[in-house]
Amino acid sequence: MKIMVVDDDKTTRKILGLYLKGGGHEPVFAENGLDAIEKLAANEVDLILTDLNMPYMDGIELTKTLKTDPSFKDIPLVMITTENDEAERSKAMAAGANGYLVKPISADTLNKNVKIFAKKN
Amino acid sequence: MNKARLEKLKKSLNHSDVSRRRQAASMLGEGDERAIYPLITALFDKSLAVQDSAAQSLIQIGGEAVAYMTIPVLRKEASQRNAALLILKDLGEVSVPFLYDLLKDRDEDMRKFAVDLLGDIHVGVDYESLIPMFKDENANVRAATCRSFGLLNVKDGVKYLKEALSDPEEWVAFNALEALGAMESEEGVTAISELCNGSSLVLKFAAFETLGKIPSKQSRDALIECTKTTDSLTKSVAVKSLVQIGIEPDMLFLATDLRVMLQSDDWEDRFAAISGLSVIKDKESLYTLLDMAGSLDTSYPENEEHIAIIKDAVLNIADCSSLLSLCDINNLKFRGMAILVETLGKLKCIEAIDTLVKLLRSSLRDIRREAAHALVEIADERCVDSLIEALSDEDGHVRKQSIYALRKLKAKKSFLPILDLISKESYEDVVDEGVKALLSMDSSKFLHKASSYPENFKIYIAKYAQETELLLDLSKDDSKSVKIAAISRLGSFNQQNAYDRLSELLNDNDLELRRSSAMTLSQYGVFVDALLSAVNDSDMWVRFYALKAIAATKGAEYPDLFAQALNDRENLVVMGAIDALSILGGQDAYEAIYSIKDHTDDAIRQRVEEVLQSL
Repeated sequence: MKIMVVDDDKTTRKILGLYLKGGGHEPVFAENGLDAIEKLAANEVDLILTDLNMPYMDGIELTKTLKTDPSFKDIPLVMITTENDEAERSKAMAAGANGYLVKPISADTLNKNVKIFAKKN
Repeated sequence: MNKARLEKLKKSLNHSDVSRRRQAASMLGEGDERAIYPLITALFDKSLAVQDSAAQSLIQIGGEAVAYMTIPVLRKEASQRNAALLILKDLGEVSVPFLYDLLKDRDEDMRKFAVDLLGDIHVGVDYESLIPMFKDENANVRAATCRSFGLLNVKDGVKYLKEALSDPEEWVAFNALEALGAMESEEGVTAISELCNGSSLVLKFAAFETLGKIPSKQSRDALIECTKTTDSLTKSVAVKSLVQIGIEPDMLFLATDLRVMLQSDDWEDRFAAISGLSVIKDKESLYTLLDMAGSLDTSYPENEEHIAIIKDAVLNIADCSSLLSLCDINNLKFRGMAILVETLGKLKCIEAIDTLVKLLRSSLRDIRREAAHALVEIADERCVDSLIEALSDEDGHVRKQSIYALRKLKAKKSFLPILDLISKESYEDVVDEGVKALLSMDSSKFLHKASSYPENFKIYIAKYAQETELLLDLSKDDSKSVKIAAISRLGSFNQQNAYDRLSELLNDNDLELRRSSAMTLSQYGVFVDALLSAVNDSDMWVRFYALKAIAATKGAEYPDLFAQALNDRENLVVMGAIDALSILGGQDAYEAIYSIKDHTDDAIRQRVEEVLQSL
């Protein structure tokens, strides 16, 4: 599967990329919401993993934008963030996220969830 | 900023029009501490553009008060939180004292933000206050601490980062590796090498990559050792890191691994392999490199870049004899062959002259062109006769390349054959090249009969001539095309008689000549008084270029001309005026452009919106 990782932190993009490659997936990367939207126009992806806190366009704003766009609304989107609290989770789900994962995450947990969300789709 | 203006701008922050609110938020940036609270409030505006302007203005005001009032925003919604992170980071050192308190916050997210910001700001940060964060109960805070130590680049931090390599959370160890790599820490090499034999594949990959970032003998030795023991899956990462760190020409034992890596589908691996093979000058890889370049489809722009890299590598690895031995291989794809021929030229392989002369008669056009080009590079007198013979080649490109080669060789004996060729030549680019060659070989002999030459000769003479007088004559030629060619060059001569002629032409009865003159003045950024009346010319292109020329030279002296042109009946001229005013900037330009925001044309309204945003 081709999976987009949206995160402003280079190290996080790298480790998630390695985890996904280990699970047999092909990662594509974006540095923030705006970058993701630009890259989605050129890349057909099966799943989006996005951070919450990013400059220029954060994860909630990106989710809202994609979920109201007919071209992207069906791509499963999972928020993956350090913020482990119910209020943030609710906000993400209300914006249209299909899932919410908390960092740090292991390669196994990530790839299992990728499978679950892709299957749901 | 006086009180009245401040109050007006504060009021505008509640205007129903987004662009008014954005402009107010932007202008408050010129204010003082009284503007901070209204701007903090504007961070919560429903428009992202207003939020962004408010954030930028807060950064512009700067100072401790802004930092102090921004800290609480970190606890708000994602969009405000991100704006606060951006502001505190850009404020820099003044934010630092307020961040230390957050390191003890009960909320782990606040602690992580503080650690991240202290790393991003790094100036004026007391790294010792961050040390306890390596033991934080939250793994994200520990990972952020590793990252920040990498950014702070504190040598004393290495021992903590080395400890973090054995953190129970892989994520933290990964960040510690990245930090040690960013610090290029030689002291960390042994601890990093231990991960090369660990059970975590991700950490093994990262350890190899990190060693590749530390330019030392110790890390190079560690990587060489790793390439001997690691499995094939991770070996390529180790070899790649070795190449990155810099291998030595005598490391021939890497040749086989590099050749395998060259066959990878991943261009990043191929680049590393090419780089390594270049260092060890592995001639056995030349065929694969040429074949690879030959199989790339040049209609994809990225392949152009790949071909350029391969060309450089071939040039670096090859010598004349290794290339000549590949000339006889029939299955080399033609583009690969063309690169081979080009390289023969770049290496100035005298011994390849016979082969190249033979290749001038190749059935493949690209090979003939490259062969002619290579002969130019070699620039040996022995090539001249073959090149003169090639002037009668059936392919126009070969004829053109041959002329080019003879020009470079300054082969005067080819003057008459070239003149003869271009007198009956059907391809204009060949005539163009021929005129250039003849001017370069003997301009006085060639220009002696200039007046009797056909129109196309004169056009190319106008294109390349260096004499103002000749161009002034040509600007009065009977042929309009010759005149236009000469006019378009006149601006490039910094001479009054050239500018006088261009001024004169701005009032010519012929529309095309007026256009050419205005265009030339705009292109070369030349101001003449006649431009001031040309902005009222009956032709929209003349008006457009006249505005452009004035904007590029004395725009600040004639703002009213541009404001007036905003009401032009032609959209092109209006666009030109908008652009000119946007270059001028300032409140008057803003107001003038704002006055046509409801223009009847969609494209103009859109452009106005863009320019108003940027102003």
